[in-house]
Amino acid sequence: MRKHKSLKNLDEDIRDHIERETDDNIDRGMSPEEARAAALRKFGNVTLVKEDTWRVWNPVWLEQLLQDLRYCARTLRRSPAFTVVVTLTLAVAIGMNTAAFSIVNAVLLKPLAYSNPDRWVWVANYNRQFRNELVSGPDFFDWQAQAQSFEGLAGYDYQDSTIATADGATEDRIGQISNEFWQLSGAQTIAGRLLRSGDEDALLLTAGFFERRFGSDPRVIGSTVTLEGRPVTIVGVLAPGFRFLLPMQQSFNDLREIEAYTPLDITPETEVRGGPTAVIQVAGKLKPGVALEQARAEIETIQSRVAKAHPEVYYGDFQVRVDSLQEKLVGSSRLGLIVLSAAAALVLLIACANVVSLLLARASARRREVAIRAAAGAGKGRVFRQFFAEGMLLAALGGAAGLLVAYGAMATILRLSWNAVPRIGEAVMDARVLAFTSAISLAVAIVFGFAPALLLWKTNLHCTLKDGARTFSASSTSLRFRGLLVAGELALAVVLLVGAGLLVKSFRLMSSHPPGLAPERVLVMTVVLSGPAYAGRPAQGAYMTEVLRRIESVPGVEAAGISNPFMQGVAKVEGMPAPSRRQPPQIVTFSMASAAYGKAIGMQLVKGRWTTDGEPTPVLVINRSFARRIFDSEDPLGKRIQVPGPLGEKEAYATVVGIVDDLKHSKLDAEPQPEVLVPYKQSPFLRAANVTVRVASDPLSVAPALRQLISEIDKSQPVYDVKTLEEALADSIAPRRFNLYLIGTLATVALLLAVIGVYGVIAYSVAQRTHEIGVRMALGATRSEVIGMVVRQGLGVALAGIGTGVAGAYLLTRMMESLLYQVKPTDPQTFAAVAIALALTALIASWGPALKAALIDPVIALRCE
Amino acid sequence: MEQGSLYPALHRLIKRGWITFDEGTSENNRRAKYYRLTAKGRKQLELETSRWDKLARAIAQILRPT
Repeated sequence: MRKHKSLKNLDEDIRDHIERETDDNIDRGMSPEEARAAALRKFGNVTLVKEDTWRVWNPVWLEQLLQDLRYCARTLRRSPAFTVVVTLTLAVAIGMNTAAFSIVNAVLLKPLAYSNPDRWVWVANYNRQFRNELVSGPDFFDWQAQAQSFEGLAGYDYQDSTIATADGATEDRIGQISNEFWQLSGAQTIAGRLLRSGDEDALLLTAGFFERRFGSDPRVIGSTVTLEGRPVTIVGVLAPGFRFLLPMQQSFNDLREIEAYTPLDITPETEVRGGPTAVIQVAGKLKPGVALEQARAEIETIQSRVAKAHPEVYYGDFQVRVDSLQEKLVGSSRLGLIVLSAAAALVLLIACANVVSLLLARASARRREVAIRAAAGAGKGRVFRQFFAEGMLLAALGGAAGLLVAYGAMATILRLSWNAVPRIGEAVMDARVLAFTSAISLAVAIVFGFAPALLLWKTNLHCTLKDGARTFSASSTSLRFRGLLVAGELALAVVLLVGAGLLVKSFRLMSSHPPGLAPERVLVMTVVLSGPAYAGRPAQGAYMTEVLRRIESVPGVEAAGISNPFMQGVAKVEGMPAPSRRQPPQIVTFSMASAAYGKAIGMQLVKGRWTTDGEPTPVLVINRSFARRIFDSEDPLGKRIQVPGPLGEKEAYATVVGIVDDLKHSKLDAEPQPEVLVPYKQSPFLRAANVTVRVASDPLSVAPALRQLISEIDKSQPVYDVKTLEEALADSIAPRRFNLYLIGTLATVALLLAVIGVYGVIAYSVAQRTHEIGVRMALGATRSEVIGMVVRQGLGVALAGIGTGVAGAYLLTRMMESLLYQVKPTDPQTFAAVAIALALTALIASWGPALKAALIDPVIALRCE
Repeated sequence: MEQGSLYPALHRLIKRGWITFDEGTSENNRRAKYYRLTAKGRKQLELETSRWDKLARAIAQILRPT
């Protein structure tokens, strides 16, 4: 601290002053000792004078703040239980908010990792009939050639492909993307180079894949591996963390990450309208200053030109969509994340209410201390600064511990739900997250400082000191306020618990399955045939038959089947009019299935019979949704449905021989779709199959043996994605599970805090009223009457809070409607369950203090004071 | 009144720029500080004095009603 020049000689000045006075006194005839003592007396407190003078020049707040903090640290050390409870409460609340924010930050706030992220868009043709968004190859090339709004357009696609090296073959997800993308994206490599125009048989690895699959061996750059039977050269490795995030609907099998990239293998020459064309997705980078609408208008113009030039291709059902790439990627996660953040904020509010309630209790207890300090000369302001210092110290402790909690929470979330939300892997504790944590800690500190200060502001020094130990009337104000706080806290907890309850109910409805499905005893895995040896349908069929034969011979296997959806399209039924323009046709999934598939996965037959593996004529089985939506009340058995033939062959009609129950076997939160099951030997495509095996014991113990058995058929064809049906189903609703787990955890914390809050207030009130209760009992109140009185007090507070909470939840839960599944946001069952559960908890929480009150010995209670 | 309270008071006046001081020696050859009013200080003094006079007159009027 700087020292003003006038202060330089202060010590000397004072010494001179006293010496002169002493000399004067000696002149007046005093002895030297007497003279000095008199001079000192007359001067006053030297140290105080120095301090006061010093303070004229130096602002004192900082010094006092340090002093206050030191004092607080001492008082907090003296009440470790209080300090620990408050720190833990805050740590959990701040930690959860920090974790929630770091997810929001990574997913919604941080721009994409490409250069000029705000200029990246996603372009598609939305098909009103199929309700999906895709782009055909010829359209893409027209856009690429003609559109002026874009710096570049990149088409992309992905599939699971076999990569074979000397060490063996693995099935990995490979992205195909136009070479233009790499220039536009500003991606960096750590080895080799990016893909560039002209590259054809080239492979670009992600850093993670380079490490896992190739052991980070730099010699693989430039080497050749076999991708789906064709040789490709590894040209480079992307920088860690760089990934092209595909905005695509998250579904059952889309949860895998892309491990490597190849060029998109279509050209304007191969993509001709009228012929077979590729279906891809398109991302683009706008030129600077070009608006989304401009780009959309331009693409629309191009499309209408194309439609005029090619009347043979029907474009009437298409609508051009241009969206921000980031929005397309994370838009569907927004609501969930907002609800999550709101839930975390509620927990913080509840935690703050709890701590404020504790602080108020402490403040009432410290009323005398405050009064004495004020009487001893500390200004009122100074005393209140003390409370702020305490608030700051507690908030700092809580904030620091909260960071640790957040760190742990994030690690757990990323481990359990890495695939639940796009971009969640980018969540880190960066400067923005730290700033957020500091900001909420500061807000908390201010609240903590204000509450007791407000309570004590009106404290009348005189009364408090005179009143002595009996401060009953004064602390009853604080108690009323605390009651209010706890009621508010319960209200918030109700909102949170109702939200969580609705999610739990949705989740239960989603995961409920018919008896007999027993997904925990079913093993699923995938085989995708690759390479020229399996190009033909006969080789594919022979392989699949062999797979089934081998698996069925394994002891413990109850049933084994294969299935795979091979086409989505319009079902043509013999004798039924073609769907009109006005009534859009039903889109049906065509799947192949082996005879035992139904038994293996647990599908129930409703009517007719199953198909066998040796049907002499074309037959098929339909599901209940198909029967209801397409045949309505007609009996479908014996009707004939058109099934596409293998490439180059004509479609043929197959007879419906059976109806099976709808089974949610892939995506739990989707409505059951009309589906057709074709015997696998009659299926036009057999390149890929999901193998389903029902076993008698734990499926995972059989898994390695099965895997081994299948790979022995042909070592170049890997089996992958081996898991139980239970896991597969759970994965299919990973985003919902993620929401449920997090909000469930928050709700549990809220419930716990609310219980602690109720208990704290009631226990404190009983302690305050010991004397009164003693008097009541001395006058004849029975123990049960005392218990009743205390419990009534607790329940009164609780019911007020719960009532408010139910009303609040009624208004708020409708915002989360789209997160729910077959549950209304105002589901009365959930509301009632939460209200009753909270009332019961409040009852239990006030029961303890009530018993304690009943055990008060009137003699001791009255003598005590 | 303790003599010590003179020091904080003097320093407050210095800080406000109403007085300033010179170092020198006293008649019996001791180190001494001579404080004197600054122009700003004189103005302030006049202001305060006039305020005081007004107050005193008002009090006087109340005490000795004509």
